[in-house]
Amino acid sequence: MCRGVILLTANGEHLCFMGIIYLMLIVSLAIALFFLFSFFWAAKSGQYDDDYSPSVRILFDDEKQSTENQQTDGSTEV
Amino acid sequence: MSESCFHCGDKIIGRPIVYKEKKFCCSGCSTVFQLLSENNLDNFYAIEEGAGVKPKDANTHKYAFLDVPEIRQKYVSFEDEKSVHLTLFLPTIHCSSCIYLLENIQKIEPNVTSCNVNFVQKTAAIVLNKEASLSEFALLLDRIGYAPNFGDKKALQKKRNYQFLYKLGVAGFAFGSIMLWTFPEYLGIEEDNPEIRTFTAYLSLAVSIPVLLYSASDYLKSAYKALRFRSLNLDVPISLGILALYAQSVYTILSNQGTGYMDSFAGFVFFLLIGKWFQSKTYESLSFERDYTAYFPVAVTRVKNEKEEIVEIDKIEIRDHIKLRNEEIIPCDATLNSETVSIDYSFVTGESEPVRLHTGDFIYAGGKIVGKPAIVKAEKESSRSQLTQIWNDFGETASKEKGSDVNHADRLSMYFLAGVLILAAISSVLWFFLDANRIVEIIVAVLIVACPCALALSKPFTYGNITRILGRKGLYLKNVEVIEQLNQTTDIVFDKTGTLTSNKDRKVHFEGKELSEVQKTAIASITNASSHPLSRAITLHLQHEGIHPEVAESFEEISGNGIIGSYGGMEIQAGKASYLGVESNTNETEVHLKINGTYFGKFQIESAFRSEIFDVLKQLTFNKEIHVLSGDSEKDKLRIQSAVPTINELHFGQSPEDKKSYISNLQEKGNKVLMIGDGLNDAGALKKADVGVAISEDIFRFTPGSNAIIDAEALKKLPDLLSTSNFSKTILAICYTFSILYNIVGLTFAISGELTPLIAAILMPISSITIVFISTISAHLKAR
Repeated sequence: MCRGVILLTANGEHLCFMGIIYLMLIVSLAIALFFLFSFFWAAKSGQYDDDYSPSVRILFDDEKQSTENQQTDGSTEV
Repeated sequence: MSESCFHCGDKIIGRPIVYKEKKFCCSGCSTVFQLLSENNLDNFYAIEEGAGVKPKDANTHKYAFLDVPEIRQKYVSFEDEKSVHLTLFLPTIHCSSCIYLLENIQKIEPNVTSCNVNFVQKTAAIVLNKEASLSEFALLLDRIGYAPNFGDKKALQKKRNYQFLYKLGVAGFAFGSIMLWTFPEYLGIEEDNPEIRTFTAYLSLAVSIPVLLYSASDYLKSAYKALRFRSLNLDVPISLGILALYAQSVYTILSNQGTGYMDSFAGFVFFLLIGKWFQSKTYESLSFERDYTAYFPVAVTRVKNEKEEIVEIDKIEIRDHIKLRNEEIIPCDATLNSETVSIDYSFVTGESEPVRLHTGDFIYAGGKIVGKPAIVKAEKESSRSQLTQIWNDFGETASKEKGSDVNHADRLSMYFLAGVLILAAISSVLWFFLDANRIVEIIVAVLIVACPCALALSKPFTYGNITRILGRKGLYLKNVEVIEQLNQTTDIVFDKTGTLTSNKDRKVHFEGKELSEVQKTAIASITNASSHPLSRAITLHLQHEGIHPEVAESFEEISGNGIIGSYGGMEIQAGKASYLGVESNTNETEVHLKINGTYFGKFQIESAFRSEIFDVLKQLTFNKEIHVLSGDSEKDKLRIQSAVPTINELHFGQSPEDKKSYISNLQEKGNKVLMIGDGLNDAGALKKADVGVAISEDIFRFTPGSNAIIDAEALKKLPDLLSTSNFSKTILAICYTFSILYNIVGLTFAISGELTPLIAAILMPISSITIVFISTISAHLKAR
């Protein structure tokens, strides 16, 4: 009835290691906290301010880039 | 005839302006097209059809104030040697094409380094080169249809409240984590590993503390406040449930019996906050309130010692001379110094014909100069707040609505709380006989289960969805509470002029000498060159008679008076009686005509009834009492009566004051009145009515004093709109039924002492999610 990790010792005995569950609980908490703080950061940096324009903007990004390239090309020539 | 403008998508009235094989409704639209196509911005039209905004004529001085350093500094957010950063509020942003155009504006104005549109807030964050002129840039935006609004700085400065998103995040995080940790317990796996169970229980406790103290704080505070003032709101039973849930769970954890209801607790707060979030989203999309100050001037031109200078309007002093140009608003009460001037008071009085004033006449603040520039002498000091006041007199409606809504919510929560307490009492008595040791546990379970989470979600979701659907159909509500009032309506009062009739499609009738085909062509050619609404009406009328306007040989518009021009050797003069030097003493709108100096007669211009309006009225009379009020003489009475015989209440010759008292009479009889009228003309009546709906040909235009704006085109859909709004009652009833069903199921578990954390954890989210689904899906099914 071992619910941890079964370790095989050198002399052939089976050992039940429960520590792994605590470790994984802590890891799961840490990961969740990581995402929570990423969410805070995202909210603060204004990513949820406007949920419409980015979806549209992505459709005409290419063209915009090309004009910017032209401008930078132009400036290097001078 | 039903061609639409390539730029703005409006129906083209009269002869289209053709440019590059595209057809436009006016020269403004074709100019914008020209500007865009010259700068390779044709994509604008590919993204959405007819997406443009019809530009209004802006005089070149309109934004001159931006070049005055102290005013400029107010709008610039950051400035260094190279660039200027500023955020502009552009209320006409409305579609993806707008974003495309504005973000590529550097193709037209190379001084723009970057432009970033925030669609939700309708703002653009712009970086300009240092040498760029702000006033010229603003003028460019205005010319392409995005007139910046410098009036309302609140909209720009409004920092988003991220606290709310944080709260939502914390609750969601705790909900997910705790549920994950509790999962083994649901399956009974941890029974024989008490150390792990204790560990996860304390972990859950730790994570739940910020949920109670931070995420749920708004509910607890609001409930506390309500109780302190000896009143009740829905937050009281909610808080009671939250606290009971939390206390019970903490007790379970500390006494080492498991994780308690911590997962339900976190999920509960999370769902409540989702409901709130949806509500705030809805409010955000109802943005017309802040378009309010768009029309207020920021600065005016003061003439001092023969020199013109631009000053902020707060700095105007009594006896200052102010120069006002075409379309500028009179900032304070003043007297006229120039000879004659036309003033458009339509914002204040709703009267569409400009008023003519002469030297020495008194001018009230709020009007708009039309035509020639004028010099006026200030008689009162001016301030933005004062101007706001004038317009606010029309607009104070908020307090009126609040009262009834609060009472309603109060009553609901009172019944609810009473019900819960009675149930708790009954079950405690019951358990006193069954097992006295479990009484506390049972009472807590009842409080937990009865917490009106689903109930609290029903309203924001239902009203939010309905409001959005109505908005898509052309009825824009000021806030969601209007729905409730709309549903109680018993009487609908219509204004006639501008509401039942349209100022756009006018009926033209010529009275005078017979006109030959050639003469008509000449007249049409001249009127076609003018953009005045009356000229347009005449052109259209002649076109219906089969006349094709040609290009006028000469043309001049005498502002506020009429037009003069020549075609085919004929000199055509048309306009006001006084302009042509003829007598006229009727009150009707007429345009007099002279050809080669000989008086020929006059065009009488009547506004026509909107198409399908009588069908709409007929449909409405089935379940509402319809009243028609009009300021006009009785000439249309027979027309309405014969078209819709079921209308009993037709009143003519009503002054705005009469209309207002007519409505209050109805209200005294206990009727709930919906008034639909034409903006400011009926402002008093609109304000008095339980729901005042202003009709607008142009939804970007500001209309104070009303609870809602209806697009003129949407008026024919009025019965449908009302039934959509009414449908919210049905949806709410379904939602309430479901939430009560869930409560009954939950209470059965609670009273029978079977409410395990697992059951609570399943029941709670399911009830919330069903409510959200029911309200959203049924609202959208109805909208089809």
